[in-house]
Amino acid sequence: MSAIIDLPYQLGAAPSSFKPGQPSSLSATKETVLLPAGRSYAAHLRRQLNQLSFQQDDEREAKRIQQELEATNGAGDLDLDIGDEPESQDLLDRDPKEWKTQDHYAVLGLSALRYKATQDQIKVAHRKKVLKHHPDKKAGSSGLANDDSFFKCIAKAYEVLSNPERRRQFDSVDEAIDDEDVPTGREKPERFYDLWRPVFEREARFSDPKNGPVPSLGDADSTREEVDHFYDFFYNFDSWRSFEYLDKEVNEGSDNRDEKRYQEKKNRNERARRKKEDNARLRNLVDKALSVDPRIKQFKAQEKAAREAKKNKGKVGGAASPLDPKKAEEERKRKEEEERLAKEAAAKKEEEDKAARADAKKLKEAAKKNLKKEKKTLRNLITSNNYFLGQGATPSADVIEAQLNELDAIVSKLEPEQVQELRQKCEKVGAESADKIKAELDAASKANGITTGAFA
Amino acid sequence: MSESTGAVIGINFGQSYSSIACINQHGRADVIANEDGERQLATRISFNGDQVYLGNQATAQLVRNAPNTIDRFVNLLGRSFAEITEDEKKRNSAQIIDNSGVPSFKVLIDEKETVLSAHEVAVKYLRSLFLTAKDFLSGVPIAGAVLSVPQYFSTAQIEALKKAAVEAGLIVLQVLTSPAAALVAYGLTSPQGLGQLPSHPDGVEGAPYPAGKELDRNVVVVDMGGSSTDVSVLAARAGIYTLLSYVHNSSVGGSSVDDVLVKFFAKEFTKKTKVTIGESDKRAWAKLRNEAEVTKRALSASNSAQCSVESLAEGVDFTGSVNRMRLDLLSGEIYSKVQETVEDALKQAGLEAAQIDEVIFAGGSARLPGLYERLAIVFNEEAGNTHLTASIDADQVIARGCAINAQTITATSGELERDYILSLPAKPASEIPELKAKATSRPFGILVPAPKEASEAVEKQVVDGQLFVTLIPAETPLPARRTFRFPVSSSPALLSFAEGTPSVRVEKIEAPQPDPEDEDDEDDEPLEPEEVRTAYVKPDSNKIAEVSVELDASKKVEVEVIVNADGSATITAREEGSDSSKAVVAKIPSA
Ligand SMILES: Nc1ncnc2c1ncn2[C@@H]1O[C@H](COP(=O)(O)OP(=O)(O)OP(=O)(O)O)[C@@H](O)[C@H]1O
Repeated sequence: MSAIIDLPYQLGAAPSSFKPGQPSSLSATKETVLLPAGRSYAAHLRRQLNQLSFQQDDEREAKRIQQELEATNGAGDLDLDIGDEPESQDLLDRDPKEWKTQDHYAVLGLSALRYKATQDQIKVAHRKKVLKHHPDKKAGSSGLANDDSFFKCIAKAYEVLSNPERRRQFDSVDEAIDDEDVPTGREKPERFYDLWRPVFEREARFSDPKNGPVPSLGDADSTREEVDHFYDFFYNFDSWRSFEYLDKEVNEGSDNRDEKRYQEKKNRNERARRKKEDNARLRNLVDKALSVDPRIKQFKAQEKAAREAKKNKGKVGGAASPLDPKKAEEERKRKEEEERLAKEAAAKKEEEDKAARADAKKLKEAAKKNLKKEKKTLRNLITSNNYFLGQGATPSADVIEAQLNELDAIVSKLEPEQVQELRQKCEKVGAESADKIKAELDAASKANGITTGAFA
Repeated sequence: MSESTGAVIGINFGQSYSSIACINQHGRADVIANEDGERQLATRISFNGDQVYLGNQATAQLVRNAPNTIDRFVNLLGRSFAEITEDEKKRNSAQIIDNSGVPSFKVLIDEKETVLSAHEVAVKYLRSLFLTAKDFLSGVPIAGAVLSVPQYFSTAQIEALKKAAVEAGLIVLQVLTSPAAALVAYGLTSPQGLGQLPSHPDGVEGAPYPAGKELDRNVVVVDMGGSSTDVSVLAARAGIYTLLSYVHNSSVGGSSVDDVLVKFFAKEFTKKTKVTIGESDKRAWAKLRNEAEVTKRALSASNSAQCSVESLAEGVDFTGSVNRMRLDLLSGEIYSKVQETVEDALKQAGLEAAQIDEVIFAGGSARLPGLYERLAIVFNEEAGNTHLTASIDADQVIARGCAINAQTITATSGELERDYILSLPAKPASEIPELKAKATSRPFGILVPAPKEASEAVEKQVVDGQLFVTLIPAETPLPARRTFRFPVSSSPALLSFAEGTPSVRVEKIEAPQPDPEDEDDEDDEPLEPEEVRTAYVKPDSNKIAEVSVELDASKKVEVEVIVNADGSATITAREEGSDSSKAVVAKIPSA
């Protein structure tokens, strides 16, 4: 079952005297190295490792695909139940080259589902059709072998529908769905929901999923909020519908770049025009629905009643109706106010927390900075007192190092505030004598378990 | 595959840029974006204090913090310091140092001088790619990865790369060479399913291939990256790929284009502001280079682009603009170098441009429109024989090919094949005995009478009133099977099979003289006679086999050819759809 390549070259006639001779052999083969990549390499390995001829492998694969298909179907997944759709002769006679005008859903037997078909359903439908219409299979049963054109139609249909972007392009202009199938507006108000629901469900298919679920039309019991949300959504409808599928082809074989560019530009303009028209179409449609929506009429009447009630307030008999719109309005306002306050409070708290965090950070940084300063002052106390050796003496490097190291050690053991205390103490006693500073430092060392004794 | 087994990813770990692809819910490969929305991630790490910058964030550090920024480290993996050329050592970032023979970098990390080997740097970087993929896949476990390497990587380099990837936490399914990944990304010539033809790289709307060229194509992959350009010639035969030649040119790449742009802008700057950028003002040059690269990329998408640098030199700002035409003029020599590399590779493969069916663009710099235009001339795209393919963005092809192959490996129905592929050693294909195979050495075809209403291109392939239609070209790995269908003029039809020699017909065509009246004829250069080169196969005078088939003359003849691994072959011819018992069979012995 290898793919058959159709070549347009006509074979000549064999002379009447023709007799086949002994075939001679092909040139010697050469060594090569396969790159271990791609699904065809995997297929090559499958044949090699299982020691299968091309034909044996075909049979095994066909069986496996069939089983897989049955498994998916047999899973009883309702979603995949795509049924069997008879193909009309017109459909079977289609020329695969005319794929642009082909109804891809009909070809795969999905006319009933159309844009509602899931990717899995498309996959299963394709496999079903492939098994049914494979040229090899047909050759056996009908003898009409020439005809693999419908098989090619199937391949095209699958190519378009299995690619999400191309499928959207096709769905955008799916001729089997009539955009104009819209109520006239003169129907009885009771029928509003039945008549308009399918219209909006149909339009909803173009909603970009990122905009969340599409609100439904609802029914006579829908709240005002729901109804408002519904119309809001459709007035601001974000549609992915696009019209590149209708692009005119650039004249094949024309290598005139200008011509090509011209056509491309024209296509772009056409797409934009169609898109604009489509947006206008939807707006008109929503306008129309809104104008005949019995709920809107009811809401208006209620509003009017509320106004009347307000006017009549204080007058005798101006009692509130059970569904007092004024009260409801007040209630709504109160709620809104509450929410607003809660939000404000939360925002304020957030702000405060942030400020507190910032403050803490600042304090810490300040302490750190201070610590450096404190340490420097302490060091100055040591050096300006000539390392406690008395005037005139020259401190050795060892002494200097030992004392400064010990100071480092002390500082690192203490909290910033303690360092500050130590500095204050040292400064105070330093006024009396240098040795007292030394004693303070030594005490600090001992208190912190430092045993190097540079200040002892 | 299904969620239970996890996702697979493909990684293009390039010397200049890296990218990651995964398989989306529609089963297609997508290059994923990191949290900054970037898909092409500079292969670069920078250390600043206790901060680590990876990818494009590290690029800005080249200006302020060059000595602590590590660049171009992928090609150092698996090599000793002694093997590294002076050219490779030259860099405006952290220098390569010799740490007992291991190429390494000395950088300040958190104020501490730290020596990192190329391996350690690679692990750090790959780990960040792994995290990016994990983030993107939010929770779905990553079941395996395929990584790409340049074709010239040695066993030691491939092993080192794999080791780094494993250390970074990846499950490495395979290390694949870039040209193979590029072909896989397109599934080139690979049947889509049982009994189906391959898909066209440009999709359903792609210009159809010449008749009979669907399964067997000679392919050139032009991979122009940042620091080098690689050209490979491959045989794609019903989805099985073999390498015919390969040329690595490290003297030309995207950074060569940056160089000429930097020079151009520097001159503009001086002209506009009278300020000259000092030779040693590394900061200014680094700033300008980073911006020039951004400008260059913008030119691949639009006709003109701006370049602005705040306080470029001596506190003076720069704003300049450049259009595509200017860039192409500046890059003319660079394109010529790429062209020479292509010609070199063709020569090594023993093929001419006219004998190439497909040119695939890979690597970030292959997005340059000027390069495409140049190669369209080299391969005479207008003649319609060679198809130039760039429908997948060139900077994504390799990562996507890797992801697809990862998918193929994990999703294959047979454990036998999967285990076999997984057990292949991490080595260049040419050093793996398991990958050795036999292939045809010459084209095998059928001779038909010169078609009456053929296109010009076909007419030029006619020799002595006969057309050699290739059924199985040279370089087809064995065993191979092809099936064709031909119309017939009458019954019995003659099927005459032969081998032949691939040839190229050269014709000179006088160019039409430009119309002297036409004042605004844009290209007024004197037109030279044009050379038209057409590939064809010159049949041997000896036939391999001749058979006749009786049939209903309104039907077609179906011919199946199977060539076995030992070089023997079986030809089966019959009226289409008829019983195999009625088929005419010719058995061709092995040589
Ligand atoms: N859109 C673009 N137009 C032009 N050049 C681009 C574009 N995108 C990326 N580049 C350039 O492509 C180069 C990077 O290519 P690629 O990602 O293939 O690198 P690589 O494989 O790491 O290359 P190498 O290994 O040769 O250094 C850079 O020079 C970059 O500027």
